[in-house]
Amino acid sequence: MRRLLLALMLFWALPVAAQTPPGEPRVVLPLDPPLAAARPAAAPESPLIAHLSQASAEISTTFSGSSIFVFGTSAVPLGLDGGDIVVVVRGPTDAVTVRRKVRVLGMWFNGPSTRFENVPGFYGVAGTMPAWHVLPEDLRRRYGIGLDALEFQRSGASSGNFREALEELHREQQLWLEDSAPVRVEGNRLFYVRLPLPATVPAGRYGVEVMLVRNQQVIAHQELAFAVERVGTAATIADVSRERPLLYGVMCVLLAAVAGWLGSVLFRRG
Amino acid sequence: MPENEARRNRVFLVVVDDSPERAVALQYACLRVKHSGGHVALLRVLEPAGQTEWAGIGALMAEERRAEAEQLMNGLAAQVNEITGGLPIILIREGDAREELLKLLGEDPRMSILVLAAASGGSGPGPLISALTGRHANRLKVPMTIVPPGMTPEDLQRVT
Amino acid sequence: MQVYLPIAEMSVNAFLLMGIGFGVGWLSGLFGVGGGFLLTPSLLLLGVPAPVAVASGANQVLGASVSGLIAQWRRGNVDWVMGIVLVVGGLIGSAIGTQFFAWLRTLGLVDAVVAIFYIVVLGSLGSLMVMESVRAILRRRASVPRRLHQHFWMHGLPLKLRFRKSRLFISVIPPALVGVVIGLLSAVMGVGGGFMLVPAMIYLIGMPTSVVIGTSLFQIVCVTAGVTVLASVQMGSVDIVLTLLLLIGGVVGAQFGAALGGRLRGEETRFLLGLLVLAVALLLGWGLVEAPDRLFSLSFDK
Repeated sequence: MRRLLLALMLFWALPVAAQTPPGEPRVVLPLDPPLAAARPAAAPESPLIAHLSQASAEISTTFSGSSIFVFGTSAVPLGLDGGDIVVVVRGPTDAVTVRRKVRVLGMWFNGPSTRFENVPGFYGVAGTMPAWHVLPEDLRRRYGIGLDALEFQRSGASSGNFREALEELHREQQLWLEDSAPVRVEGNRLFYVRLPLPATVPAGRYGVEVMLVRNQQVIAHQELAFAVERVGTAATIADVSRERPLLYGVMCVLLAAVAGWLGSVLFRRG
Repeated sequence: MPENEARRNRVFLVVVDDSPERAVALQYACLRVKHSGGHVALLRVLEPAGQTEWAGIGALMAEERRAEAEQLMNGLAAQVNEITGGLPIILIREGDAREELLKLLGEDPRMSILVLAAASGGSGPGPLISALTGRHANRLKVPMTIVPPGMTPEDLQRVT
Repeated sequence: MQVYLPIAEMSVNAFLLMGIGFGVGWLSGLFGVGGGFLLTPSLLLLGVPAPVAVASGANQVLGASVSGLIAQWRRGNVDWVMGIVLVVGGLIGSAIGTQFFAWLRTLGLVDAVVAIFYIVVLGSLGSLMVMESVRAILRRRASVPRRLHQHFWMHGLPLKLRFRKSRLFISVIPPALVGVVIGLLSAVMGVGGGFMLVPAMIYLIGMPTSVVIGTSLFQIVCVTAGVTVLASVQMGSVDIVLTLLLLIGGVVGAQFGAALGGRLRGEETRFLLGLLVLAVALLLGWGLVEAPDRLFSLSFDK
């Protein structure tokens, strides 16, 4: 992320005119001069302002999925011959092992496996246009924009389609999304997108990155934070089981014993 | 005389459970028979055998319980014989002790007197006495004698 | 009514779970079987992950056995000394079993190995039950297998102890070993193991049948409690919501089964139970042989 910011700052240092190919209308950036002058000169106004409709989503026992709603405005007109918006949502990461089944003595067992490090439990990318359309390949790869641009440190079996399977299985569960819904634009300036979160998304901190792209370059960029929290009895039970496993185990023993005994007293027949 | 004959045919029923009081009840019944005639009947009620996955083990359980009960009854029969000079009627049934006892008293007209001994502990005279003097008293078909706790063999001799 | 199982991380119908509990409880009330060997496979077939199905199954067996133990204890049918020897062996066995289980999990082989254990155990159990009942139906009564006079080989072993209630004076090694095997099965399969423990107590250890049921219940309650705690600490795989839903159905079902027991018991119904056990083994076997929908699977490090 730091490298990206650095690149953006370098980019800002260059005159805007130099980036614009000759013959095209010059875009006035970022705002009207009088307002800009009223602000501290050190922090130039971003041509991009993005927001989330809510900063968190809650998972409960009755959770049936939620969504992240991103909206904002661009100083650059959006659409054909203008700028594009690309939104990337990254969930908390975890190590994931992909296993392939093999047939031994007529039965199917999990065989070779590959372990991928720092795999996001949720990843979504959306844009006014597909990211591969508006950004050069090397930039996309460098910043991991798009499912094919996600690269992980891996160990274990190297042959076989483990990377493809990782993507396939995450896509199937709607945990990884690419251009499932386009970013919509109203009046050339206002943009919004709703990214669905399925019921199985992991809890934790999510990063939402909004980029304004023009002429194959990211000209503005904003990071927003989003949190998915577990709430309700189920989350409490899961937390206790994870954090105090001994206490939880003893509680399970006592609860089952009491329930079994009480049940047989209450429902005794005859 | 018919009165004497009836006296000779009366039966004192003793419930053989695993309590220490059963010896007192048995002693009392034997002494009554010895002094004034009649017979002793011994009733042993087995709990239904536990079930398992295996029918064979269930059958083995039932057989071992029966064998155990028969051994116990033979021992007690020898005691009865020693005191009264006669052999007792031996009854072995399976089920709930109270229900089987009441059912036997209803079915078998030979039974004349039920003899039970009360426990000396603080937790009541014992489940059978509590049931037969309380909630189930109206289902009893014959008179019942309760031997109080703390009677010595001499006391028993005296009252019989 | 859908409920979310916090550890299994899935939504299931609560009435379906209570129904499974009821069915298994009904059978256990009817036949006096523990029922764990039918419960855990049902959960596996429902799609509950194997570690959760096994640990929660063991936890359910614990709950379902407590009242039976109390009843046997009141009647004085528990040989505590023998019980403690069996429990010590059982806890050692379940600790080994839990380690084995955790190791299988790192290889991604838990589901397959649990299924194989079940296929072997249920296959033999079901066949024996069917054979036994067919023989009894043909003869019109259950045959009484004789006790083998096996005591000669046990007389040579050290560490002899007097088991007053069992009227035995034998080495603690055979009962401890029996305990280890049952503990292992309990940790890997989520069962109480009564179907093996009871015959072993009678024919290997030579205990009188009067104390076998009570003592085996004592061992089952203690070892399933141990499995529950170990699985929770080692793998975090006990789902208390799942356990309690199964228990609610189970205790009600057991009462109905026991009430019906007097009338329905018998070789014909036992024959049907044997067929049911075989059917479950076949279903699990099919799950292993059938070409999988997906060749690849994901597992997350927890």
